[in-house]
Amino acid sequence: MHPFFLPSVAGKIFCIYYPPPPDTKCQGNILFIPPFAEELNRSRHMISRQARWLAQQGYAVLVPDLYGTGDSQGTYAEANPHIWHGDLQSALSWLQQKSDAEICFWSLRTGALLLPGLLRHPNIQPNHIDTLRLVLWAPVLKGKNFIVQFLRIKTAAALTQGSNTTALTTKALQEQLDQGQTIEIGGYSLTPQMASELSQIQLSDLPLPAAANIRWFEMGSEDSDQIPPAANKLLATWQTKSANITAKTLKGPAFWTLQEPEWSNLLIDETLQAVKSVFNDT
Amino acid sequence: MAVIEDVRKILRDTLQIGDKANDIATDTALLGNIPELDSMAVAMLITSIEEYFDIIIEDDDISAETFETFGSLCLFVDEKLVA
Repeated sequence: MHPFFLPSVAGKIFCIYYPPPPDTKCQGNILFIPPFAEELNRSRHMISRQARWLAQQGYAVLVPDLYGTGDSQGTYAEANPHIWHGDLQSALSWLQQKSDAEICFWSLRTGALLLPGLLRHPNIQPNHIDTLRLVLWAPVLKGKNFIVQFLRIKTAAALTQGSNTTALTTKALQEQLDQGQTIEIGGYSLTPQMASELSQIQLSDLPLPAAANIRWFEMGSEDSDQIPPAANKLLATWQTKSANITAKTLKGPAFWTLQEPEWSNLLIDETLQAVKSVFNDT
Repeated sequence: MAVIEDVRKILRDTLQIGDKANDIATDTALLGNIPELDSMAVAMLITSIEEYFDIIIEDDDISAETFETFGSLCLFVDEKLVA
């Protein structure tokens, strides 16, 4: 693996490139789109293991830290979704200069919400999205719900610290944001701009070309061909437009929420199969 | 309370504590006792309970007492379902 800094729209972003083995033809380019704040921190082990495994199988994988996150320049308080779309576009261009292989996007949680903006980015090459290949790990459907959930971490923190003063509510936090205040949640700054812009994004905004090849994974208490009802509704809409879109629930932990690193080898194996199929089916 | 085993299942899945969940009794302390239960996990737990039982939990409904013991959490869910 090759760590490096990539100059991007707002500053240098830290990236790790996992190339295919030497003397191997690149089977496909894969760009990872990271989740938000603590969910990224708690998923690093799964992301790097998956990236290494895909690279060993002949794929070129790029895992960027978006501006203001991880080891990239900037802070969460200085970042916004618009900058992140630019970062992803820079990362995509870099990948395509390394190899002219086809591209597949692989996202975790809110990473999927950056796809609609990325695909509409003015600098994106139309041939990148003629055929849309996606592997979605537990995508967040609505930014608004995610922000409420994120605010809830702060209200829960008040509970766990045993402060029995007036209950802190997500509504009160939302009002602080509306008044232009930045909120600290678990060591991450949530600015009014970030909260408002993320809240406006829905996965259903994704522009779906005729040739879309999507594999969608949820984690749950048992293996199933079903995904939760809200997710299934969007999936069904997509499936009316393309036959190559499938989803399943795998038995395993929601590792992005857990303090102790938990593994899902099943997800790693299934993801490799999914990547092979999205490149082979198109 | 009819919900005890459901809440136990939610705790087991949300916190990934496996068989440890079977040892939890109604008087087992939750907050401050189960290390997996940090603020992110509490937020997840509330959301999981909402989805599982198809109920809405307002922030004003919950307090530190709700999460004091497994029994107090079950009682809270039970009351929400009746309400």
